[in-house]
Amino acid sequence: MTARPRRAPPIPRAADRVQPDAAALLAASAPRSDALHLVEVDGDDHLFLVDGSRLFRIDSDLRIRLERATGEGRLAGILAELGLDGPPLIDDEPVVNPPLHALSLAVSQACNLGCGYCYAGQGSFGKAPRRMPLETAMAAVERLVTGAPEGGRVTLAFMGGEPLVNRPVIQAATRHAVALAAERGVRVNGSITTNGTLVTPEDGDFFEEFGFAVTISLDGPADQHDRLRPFKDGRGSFDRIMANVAPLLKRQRRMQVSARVTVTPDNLDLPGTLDRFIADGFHSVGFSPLLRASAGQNEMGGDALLVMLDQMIACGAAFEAAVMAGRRYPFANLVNALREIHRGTHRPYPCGAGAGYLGVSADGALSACHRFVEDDSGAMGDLSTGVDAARQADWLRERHVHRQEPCRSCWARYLCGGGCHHEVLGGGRTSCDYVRGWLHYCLETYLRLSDARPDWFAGPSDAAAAP
Amino acid sequence: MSDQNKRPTILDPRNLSAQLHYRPAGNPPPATLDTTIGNTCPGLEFDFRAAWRTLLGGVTLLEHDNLVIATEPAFAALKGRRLLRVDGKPVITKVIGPSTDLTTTELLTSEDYPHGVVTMEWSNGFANVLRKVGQSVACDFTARPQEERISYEQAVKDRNVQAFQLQIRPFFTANTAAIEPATVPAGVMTQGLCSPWQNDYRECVCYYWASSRPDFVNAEVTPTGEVRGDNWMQKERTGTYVIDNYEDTRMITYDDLFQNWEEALKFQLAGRDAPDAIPLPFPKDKA
Repeated sequence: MTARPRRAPPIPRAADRVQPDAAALLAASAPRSDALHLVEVDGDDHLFLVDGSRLFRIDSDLRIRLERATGEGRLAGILAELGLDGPPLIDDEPVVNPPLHALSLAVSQACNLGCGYCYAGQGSFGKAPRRMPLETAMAAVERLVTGAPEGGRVTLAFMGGEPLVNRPVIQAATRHAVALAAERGVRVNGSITTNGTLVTPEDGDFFEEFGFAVTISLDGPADQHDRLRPFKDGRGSFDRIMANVAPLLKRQRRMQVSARVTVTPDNLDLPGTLDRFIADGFHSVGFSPLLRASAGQNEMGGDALLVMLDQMIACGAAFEAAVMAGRRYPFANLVNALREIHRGTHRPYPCGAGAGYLGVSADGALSACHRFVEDDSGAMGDLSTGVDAARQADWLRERHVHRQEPCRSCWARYLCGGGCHHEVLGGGRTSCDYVRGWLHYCLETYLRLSDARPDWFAGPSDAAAAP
Repeated sequence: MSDQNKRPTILDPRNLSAQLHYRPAGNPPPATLDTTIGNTCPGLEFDFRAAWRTLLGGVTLLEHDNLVIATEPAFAALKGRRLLRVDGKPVITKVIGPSTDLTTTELLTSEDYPHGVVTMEWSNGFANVLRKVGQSVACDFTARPQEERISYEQAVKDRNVQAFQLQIRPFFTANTAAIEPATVPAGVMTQGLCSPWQNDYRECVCYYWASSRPDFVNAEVTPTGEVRGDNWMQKERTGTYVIDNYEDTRMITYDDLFQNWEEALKFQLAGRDAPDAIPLPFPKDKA
């Protein structure tokens, strides 16, 4: 059954709804050069050098020279003069034979919710519903842990469908992984992404014991969430989830319970959602636009993404005020972006999918990530024969951001990595303006906060931590 | 390579990757991580380790060890003791690794390191307190002069720990990447080099120089696939590599270096001896 919005607000046209902030960001973040991007904050000019994601304060004379040289296609000379030349930090070579460090187990290819937008076709990935047998999960654990070097760290993730449909396998696989890892001097991080409808207090005890990262899929307060994430019979799921999750939120010490919000045109009140879930005690709250739905329903188009950008900026303003006041405000998107900009993260891929991170289907097939379960385009071998090295090499070569368009000429390519493989392969790149606008905003915020609160960046790298 | 000494403008690195790859005006090309020579031992240029010896106000440490070798009068009692922790972070560590038969992982000891304890390189050991310039931080020393290196845990067990508050001196001149001359006066980073310094060319003749100074030069592949070439330190370029031995008369000697290094040694361009016709950039020192 497909959820129908009971109160779907009309998507405003950009011209009559969008605040100047988002529109201005789109203009300021438009791609002009593949080598650099210029950012002005409070009257100061800054250079973002794409190679190495390096950020510099510059003077206005240099900005004018860089703008002129960009227009005239003679940047190389100025960059050499500035000592910013040299071999690129990211070349065309794909990652080769990456070590495996994370597996996501689709322990249940079935789900009790009927979310209209689900990329997994309501949990079963277009096949008959099934659960992962224990021996398959154990084989996955052994492949993950025994392949890790002594002193290494691996992540064992459980997804679905709804993974808690297959609770005994989650628990047995986790215990086996931890025991096997202890023998080998390897550390295991457990994580689970769940819809929250089946979570029990005993699950909370288990997640706390093993320090799980628990992600609850929630799409806003009850009215918004229930439109998007109802049970298969159409009933709302919000109240049940919140009642189930409340004991975990109180209990979390080692475990971290976070909320992940899939943003559609039907739930665009992001500041309200963020405030609500932070007040509820979630460790962090993150938003992700729905760019590709299996039924094509409720996907975020250009106008809706512009509204979302406005909403994200409003969330960012609240975050910035909180950090300035020394309060914790775990807006995960901005926390993570600021940490990455601070480090100068630069990468040729958007994530570890198909490299150090693979998905495992209930039948034991390996895929590029949890989204490519039962999808031939991301097939990577299976547990019995191991990773298909040829397919993996093809994937890493083809998915390198230097082979993507229009990424090759975009200043944001090493921060973005080219966008989610699953969304891009399914529907192309539809959110580049949004991504660039958001990253431009994050660069501005970084420059303000790193001046005003350098202590925040020196703090723990915990994704949602604040002083 | 670009000439940043001519840099006309402000270029202030803001995030970590910009700082990591930044070459401040005046620094030589091998001043960044991806161009530097990969060692910290005394080289021909300077001994960087010595720059850290006086970071803690009042005491002077050995450049490669946690031993206090000199003090200001107020801290005279610390001479001969060993520094164990700074601001709660250890400056020493136990060395754990594979046993010689590769069957187990164990504490690695030797005659010089009977407790398997080594001093961390100072730029790592002091990394956390660099941001506390001007502040006093707790420094744990052994409570008495200590000849052998011991672990912090052992010192605690032996009741051999005493804390002192020492002030962190500035390592960098404010708002620059230049080493602060008040903390590291001129000459400190060269005083530990071989004397005369030309010894280093002889002592480290082969298997030592990193990418910037190949020891196997003028290499050519013959039609049979053999690679022929010269040892940089052999007097005659014969195309046959001479394995180094300081007593071998085919090699440049200590005396050759002391008396005539400018002519004995050859610059290398793209792995080959540069032509002798390249003029020296400075007058030869007749002394």
